[in-house]
Amino acid sequence: MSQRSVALGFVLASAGYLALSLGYPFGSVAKPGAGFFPVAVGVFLCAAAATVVLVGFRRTAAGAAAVDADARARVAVTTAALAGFCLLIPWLGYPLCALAFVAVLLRRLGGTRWPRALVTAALSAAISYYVFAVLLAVPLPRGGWLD
Amino acid sequence: MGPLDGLVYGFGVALTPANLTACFIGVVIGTIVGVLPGIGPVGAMALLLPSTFVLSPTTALIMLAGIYYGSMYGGSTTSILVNVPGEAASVVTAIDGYQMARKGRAGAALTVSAVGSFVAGTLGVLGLMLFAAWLADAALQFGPPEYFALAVTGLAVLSRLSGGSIVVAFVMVGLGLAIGTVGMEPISGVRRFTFGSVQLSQGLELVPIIMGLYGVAEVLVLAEEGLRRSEIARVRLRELFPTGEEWRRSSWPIARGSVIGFLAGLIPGPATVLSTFIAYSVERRISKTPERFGTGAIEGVAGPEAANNGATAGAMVPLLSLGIPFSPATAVLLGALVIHGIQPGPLLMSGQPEVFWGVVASMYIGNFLLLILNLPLVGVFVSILRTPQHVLSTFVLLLCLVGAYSLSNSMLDLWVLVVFGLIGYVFRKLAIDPAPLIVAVVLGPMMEKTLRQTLFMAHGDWHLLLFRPLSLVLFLVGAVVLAGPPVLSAVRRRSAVAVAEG
Repeated sequence: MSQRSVALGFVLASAGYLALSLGYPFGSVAKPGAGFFPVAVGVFLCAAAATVVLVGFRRTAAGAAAVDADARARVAVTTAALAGFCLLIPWLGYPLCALAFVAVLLRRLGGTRWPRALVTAALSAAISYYVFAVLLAVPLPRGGWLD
Repeated sequence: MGPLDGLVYGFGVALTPANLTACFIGVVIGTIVGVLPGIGPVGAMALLLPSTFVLSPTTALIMLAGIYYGSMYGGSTTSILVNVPGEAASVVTAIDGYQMARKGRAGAALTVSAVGSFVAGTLGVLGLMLFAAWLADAALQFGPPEYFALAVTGLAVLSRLSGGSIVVAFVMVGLGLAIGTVGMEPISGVRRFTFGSVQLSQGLELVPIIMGLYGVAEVLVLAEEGLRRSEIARVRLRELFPTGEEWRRSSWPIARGSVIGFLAGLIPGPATVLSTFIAYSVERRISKTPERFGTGAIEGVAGPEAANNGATAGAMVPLLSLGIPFSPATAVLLGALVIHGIQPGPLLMSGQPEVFWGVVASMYIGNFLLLILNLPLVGVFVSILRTPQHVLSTFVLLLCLVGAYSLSNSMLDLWVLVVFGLIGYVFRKLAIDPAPLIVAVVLGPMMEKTLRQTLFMAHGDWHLLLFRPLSLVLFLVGAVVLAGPPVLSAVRRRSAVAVAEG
């Protein structure tokens, strides 16, 4: 992602925030309303974001380094696994989602063979479920299919 | 309760089996976090925060604080042995520490680093004990204008010191303040930026934001870098003893580093990192043999390692005495206090002495535990580096997911985690420091409340906000910090041009 597109993203987000802020009661300086502070923040944010677009921002060598296709794929898989976990957990439940999540990442990030990845994933799903759901009493979703 | 009585009372609290165990677990996890490159103390504290729900507030804070200062011990180990700093605060240690390891003096470097950390940590806690008590008393006189001025100045200083472009740091501050306005507004009950969502009415939780920006983003960067294996130097127990000359050369740098670190910790910003650079440059500047620096000078290990530990104690002062965090790590500690129903601030010391003095006493105990743990077990801690990166990354992500969900059993927190993870990854790629954003998320609601209270009180007269003595001083400090460096460089440029023109 380029510096310029991030800077423009800042401007768009700031403008959107300011536009929404104007919809809340502003009040007056003597009696500030719910919109007073957000409008002030929105104006500050727009000014700072516009300045970033104009002057740019410093970028390090690490940030500028070219990324190969494999590296991009690993980031994409990790992101997809995270999003998939969030999307599927209400239906599949925590144990199954955790199993799939760990197995996929072990396989795709480190090349672990499927049998080993699946056994490790099953153990980690079971242990983490026991620790959080049983010991710490966190009501982790069991999945719509079990209810 | 005076400092001495408080400390005795604090030891009574910290030495209970539960608190002692929490302290031990905290410092061990902190050391491991410090050893492992990538997973920093902020991410680790945020990650483990949900597991403290079953603990008492004091026990939870003792454990989380242990992770914070424990990570400073662990960070030096990999800097010295592998030339891979486990922590940003140990980058400077690698310069001379690794050179010492190459000359066969790794054991001495590790010992001096551990002893320096212990001395600085202990002196820092002494400073925390005395300074926080004094500041908390003074803070009882603060009104809304002073708190507002303190927050504005803190954010200004943080923006100046957080590295990179100051304008980008301002954008981070603005984004943080904007995030802080999401949810039900406390005075009139108006729901802002909730888009009809009931969950958003409660606002965005700080912890998933921190987990995303630090934990998930870090794993995405590691995933991009791919598999990495480190060559690890072996250290035998008998090699751990520095020579008399090495002790002599280290003693004053440790003392100076302790003071520099503690003072840097009081200032908003990346104190643990900044203090190491200051300590290193001070040691090199006052050394009679500055040419030794970079080739294995033990002063270059002793000073910075003392400084980063002193800074962790210093950073606790504004948190425990004012209830204001000036760094992401102390923001997590503040989040932990709030989640456990404790209101941090000047009344913490008198209202909940077991929390304040218990944590202070536990820091003495924790520093002692770290000293006796780190040296004999250095081989064990370093062997953790042999854990394959992808296995570690996968489990960190799983812990982030389950940890974020367990905060309030909300799907919203999971999505916040993922979205901020991606944002944090983009920030990392563009070398943007998210620290001002985190601190602004925490300070934003307080800034809004104190600003509106002040304007109500003064019937809209800005003089009350700007010209109360302490507010004025704080605003002036902020203005000098912001405007000082560009004005100075402009003056220097002008005088250079004048000299060149004869």
